Amino acid sequence: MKHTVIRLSVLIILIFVAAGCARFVYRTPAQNFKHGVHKEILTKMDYECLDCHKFLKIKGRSFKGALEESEIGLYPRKVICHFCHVDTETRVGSSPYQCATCHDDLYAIRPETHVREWKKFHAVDAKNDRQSCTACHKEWFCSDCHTRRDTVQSVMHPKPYRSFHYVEAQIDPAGCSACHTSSFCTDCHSGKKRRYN
Amino acid sequence: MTSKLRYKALVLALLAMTSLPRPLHGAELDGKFTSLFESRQNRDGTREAVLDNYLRLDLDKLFVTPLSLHAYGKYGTELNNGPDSTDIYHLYAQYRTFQGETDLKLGRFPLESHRFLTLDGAYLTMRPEGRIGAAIYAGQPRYLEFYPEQIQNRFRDTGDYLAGGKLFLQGVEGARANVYYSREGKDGTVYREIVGAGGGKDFRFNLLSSEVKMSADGSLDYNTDQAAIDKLTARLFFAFDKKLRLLMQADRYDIRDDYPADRQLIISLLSTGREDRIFYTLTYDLSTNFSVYQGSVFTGLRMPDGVWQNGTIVRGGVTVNFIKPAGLDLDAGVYRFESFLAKASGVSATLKWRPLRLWTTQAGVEAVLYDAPFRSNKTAKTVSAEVGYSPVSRLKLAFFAEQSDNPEFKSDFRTGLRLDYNFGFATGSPGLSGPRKEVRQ
Repeated sequence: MKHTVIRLSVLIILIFVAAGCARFVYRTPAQNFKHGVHKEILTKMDYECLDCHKFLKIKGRSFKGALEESEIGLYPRKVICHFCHVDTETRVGSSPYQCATCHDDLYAIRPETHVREWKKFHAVDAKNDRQSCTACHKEWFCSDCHTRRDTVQSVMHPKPYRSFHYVEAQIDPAGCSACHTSSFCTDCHSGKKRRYN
Repeated sequence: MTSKLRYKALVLALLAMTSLPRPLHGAELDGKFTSLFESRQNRDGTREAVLDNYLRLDLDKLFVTPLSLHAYGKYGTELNNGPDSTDIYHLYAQYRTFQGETDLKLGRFPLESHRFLTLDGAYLTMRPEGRIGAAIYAGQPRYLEFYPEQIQNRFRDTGDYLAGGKLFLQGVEGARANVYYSREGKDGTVYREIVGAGGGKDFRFNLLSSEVKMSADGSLDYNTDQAAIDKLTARLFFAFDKKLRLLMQADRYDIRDDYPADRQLIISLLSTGREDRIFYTLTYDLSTNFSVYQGSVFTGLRMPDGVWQNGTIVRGGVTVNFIKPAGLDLDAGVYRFESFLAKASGVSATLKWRPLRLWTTQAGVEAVLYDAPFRSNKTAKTVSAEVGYSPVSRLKLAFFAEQSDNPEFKSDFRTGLRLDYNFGFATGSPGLSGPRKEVRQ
C-alpha cells in the first residue's frame, strides 16, 4: 500500500511538472492573455484587432530585439483591460483571478475595505454582494479557509491558539460558529479523537 | 468508495485530461499542486511522518465556451503504515453564459446562504435584462468532521437537505440589495428556516479637502420556524484621505436552531444562542512603508441562567512594508482576551525577508500568557522559521521548522518540506494562453 501511494504521488507530480515544463519560462502579459475567451464577445461587440493593438515602428535590428519591441508595442496596456473589466462606466464583466495577467502583487491592488482584520468583516459582502467577491476570487478561495483544515497553512489561528481557544469561545462563540459546528468541539473534548499532539 | 480507489480514479482522470488534448481542444487549465511532507510528534510521544497532497483545478472552456469544471481535493497519508485520507472540498461542473446570464453549478460547491457550508447539489442563477436577478439552489449540506486520526478530516453524509433562493439587485453601481429564503432540515424536521433581506450603499464625498469613501451595509435574518430574529448585522466602512480606514460592525444573534446535537452551532452550545457584538478595526498609514492598526471586539452573552456575561478582545500592532526596496516585510502586534472566566495576553511577530530573487526567508514568534480557573498563569509559545527557494514565480520549495511549547499539550518540534506549484496551460491551441503567475491574495 505504502509503495503504491508513493508511486502514485510521484506520478501525479511528474504529470504536472511535464505538463507545465513546456512553458516553464516567464510569460509576458501578452502571452498570458486569453484571446480565445475574448473572441466571442469582441466579435459580438464589433471590436477589431486595432481597437486594442497599435502598430509600432520596429527599430531593433536583431530578431530578438524586434520581437521584444513588437511584444511591447502590441501589448494593449492597462486602459484596454480596465475599459471592460474595471472602469465603472464601461465595465461589461468581471474577470476573476485574471488580474495576475498583469499585476504581480495582488496585495497591492486589494480593495480599500480589505484591511488587516478583513476576514472578520467579509461575511456581509459574501452574502449581499457575492459578485464583488467573484470579480477577483474563485470558489477555491472560500474553500481554502472555510473547508481545508491542515497544518500546511495557518489562515486563521496562530499555533498557541489551541492553549487558550476557550477564552475566545467564552467571549465570542458566534465567531467560532462562522466556520465550526459543535462537533468540532466535541470531537476533541470527548478525548477519543485526534492522535496528533 | 475507499480512499485508494478514489485516489486511483483521480489519477486516471488527470491522466485523461493531460494526455488527451484533442477532445478538449481549446480548453484552458489552471491549477495548483501543493505537497507537504511533515514529521511531527503524537500525543503518546511517538513521531509520525505525513505526506499531504492538495490539488486544485479549474478547467475552462470545456468542449464549449460556457462549460467549465472545478475541483479541489486532498490526499494525505501517514507513511509509517498509517491511515490515508482522500477528500474532495469541491468538484462541480459550471455552465455560465456570457456575463452569467445563466449560471448553473452541479456537484459539490461552497455555498453562502444563511451561513457558509458545502453543498452537494445544484445552484442556478439567472441574470436577465433589467435590475432584478434570481437564484435557486437545493442539495445536501456536508459537515466536516474529525476522524480518529488527524489526517482524516472528512465530510460526513447526514442525509440533511438544504434548499433556498434569492432575488437580487443587479447593474446598479455602488448599491446592492437582496431578499432570500433558505430551509434546512431532515425528513419532517426543520432545523432552520430563514427569510432575510440585506443591502448596502457606497458614498463618496470631500471633507476638509480630502476624499472620503463610505459604505453602509446590513442584513436581517428572520427565523420563520421559531418566529424570531436570527441575526441582525450592520457594517460601516470609512476611509479618509486614503490613509485612515475604519471598519465597524454590530451584530445581534438570537439563534434558535433545532439541529441534532452533533451539528448544533457553537453559539448554541456555549450560550442560549443570544449574543450582542460590536467590533472594529482602525488602520492608519503613517507612510507608504509604515502602518499602525488597532481593533477591538466587545460582546455580551446571555447564559442559560439568564445572566449576561461580557467579553473583550483588544489587538494592536504595526506593519512595516519594505518589500520593494529591501524585500522586507514585518508584522508585529499584541493582543488581550478577557472573558468572564479567563484572560490571555499575547505578542506575535512575523518577519519575511527576500535577500535574493530566488530565496525567501521567514521567521515568526508568538507567546501567550493565559490565566484561567485551574490553569493559572501558564505560557504557550511557538517559534518558527522557513527558508524557501523559488526558481520561477510559479514554483516554490520550502523547508520549515517549528517548536511549540504548550502547557496543555506536549512540546512539539515539527519539521517539513513543502512544494507549491502553480500551473496553467491551454490543452488546445498553444501560444494563446500561458500559465498563471503565482500571486499573493
